[in-house]
Amino acid sequence: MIRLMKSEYLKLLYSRTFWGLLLGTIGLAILSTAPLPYVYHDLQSRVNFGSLTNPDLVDAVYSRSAEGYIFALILGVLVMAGEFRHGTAVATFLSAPQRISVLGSKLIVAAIGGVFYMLVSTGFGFASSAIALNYYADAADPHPEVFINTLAAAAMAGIVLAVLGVALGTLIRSQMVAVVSSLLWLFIIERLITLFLPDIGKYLPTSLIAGMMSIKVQGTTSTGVNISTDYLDAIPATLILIGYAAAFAILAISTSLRRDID
Amino acid sequence: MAVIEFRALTKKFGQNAAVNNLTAQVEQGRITGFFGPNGAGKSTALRCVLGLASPTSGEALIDGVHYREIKDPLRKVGAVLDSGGFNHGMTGRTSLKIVAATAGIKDARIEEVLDLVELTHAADRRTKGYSLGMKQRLSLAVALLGDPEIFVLDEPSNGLDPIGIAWLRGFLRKLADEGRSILVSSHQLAEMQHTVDDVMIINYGKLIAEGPIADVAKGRSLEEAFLQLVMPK
Repeated sequence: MIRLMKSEYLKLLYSRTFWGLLLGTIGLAILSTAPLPYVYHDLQSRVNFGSLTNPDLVDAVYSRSAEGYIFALILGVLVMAGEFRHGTAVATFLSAPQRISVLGSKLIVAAIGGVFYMLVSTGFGFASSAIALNYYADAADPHPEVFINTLAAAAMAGIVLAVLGVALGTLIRSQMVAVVSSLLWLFIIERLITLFLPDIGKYLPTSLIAGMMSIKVQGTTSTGVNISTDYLDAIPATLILIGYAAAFAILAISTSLRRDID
Repeated sequence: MAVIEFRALTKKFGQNAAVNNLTAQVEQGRITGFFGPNGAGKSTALRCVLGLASPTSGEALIDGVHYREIKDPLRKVGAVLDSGGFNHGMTGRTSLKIVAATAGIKDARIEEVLDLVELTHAADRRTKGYSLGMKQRLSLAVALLGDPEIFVLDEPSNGLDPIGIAWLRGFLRKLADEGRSILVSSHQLAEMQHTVDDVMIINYGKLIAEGPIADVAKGRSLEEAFLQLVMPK
């Protein structure tokens, strides 16, 4: 198992895609945080969010640093489906015919890679948040616990989504189909469900990730419409996400790993 | 002594039997040619031997066990199945390093096998820029990494130029002379006639001839014998 993990680690280390995705994760963290102080400042005149003098809003800026989790999911997909895309699956399963061991080592290495992505990108997100907030002299200081909460949630999201990605990549061997269907699900279908069926939506992955970060936002627009997010608390959200990852991994082991390797 | 055994091996895809009740064996220290027309079931049978495909019925064994039961497979069996199995963004040396890591094989062995397949000069180039022949040599290097005693090679001469084919012939013979056993499939019958000791010929998934090359060819060339066996009319 240790040898297999070393082999999987080398695959990531020498893969340009791995480093490209890391840059994407960092870029997303910066884009998710840097404009936010301006957006909140601008919204102040139209939505009763309160100003940046409110530490909760400043916390919300910093907590968006962990927004790059989609790249942890893509990393997980590539770790398994990439083998079928490049045709390296044959060499992998010839050198390690115990498929459960191969899957196990991929799950562990992808999880470590996911944590690495999330911690590095969250660090960049914190820095860009601090720089952007620095332009607003009246901005409050964040609550100290926001940093540890966000880092913990980022690390957990990195693990869970990378594991989910490996499981998806095992179930759907086509790398393109697996990545595109994940993006469609997370960014369109899931958001529509959350919008129209919020009681169901809060149990879906993106809402659970927000719940893990303990993000609670409430407000009223200038037209009087209430805006609120009703995410689960951090611990149940985390447990349900782990449940998703475990369910997909078990499904992958019990079905796809028995299929022939082409 | 048989090192590879097909025991009533059948592999079906839907209703279609790609391999149909194949029973044959490969003897130790000999080069066995595995021949058949396109779609005859050669690659499927080899994939069953290597644990990549599960037989519908029957079994394929290496030294009496299933491939998946071999503890350190790279040190027991070297396989070449296709030449496309490399991440094109990685160099040849890196590709070998990744496979070697799974068996705890040292870097020095990587240099040895690169030298054996005469690919040292291109080891640090991305495999994207490799010719088909170079990819075949790299596949052979992967097969050699664990210094195995058994080789399963699916059309290893694919893409090799005449010099490469002559090199492969000498290379296989050298391996057999060291007591290693080789099961090799190929369409290059004229070439294989000078390389193999035994032959197995399948058509539509069924074994139609097996034995030492002299017994199967019966004074004809291997190609003539093959054509008469697969197209009797």
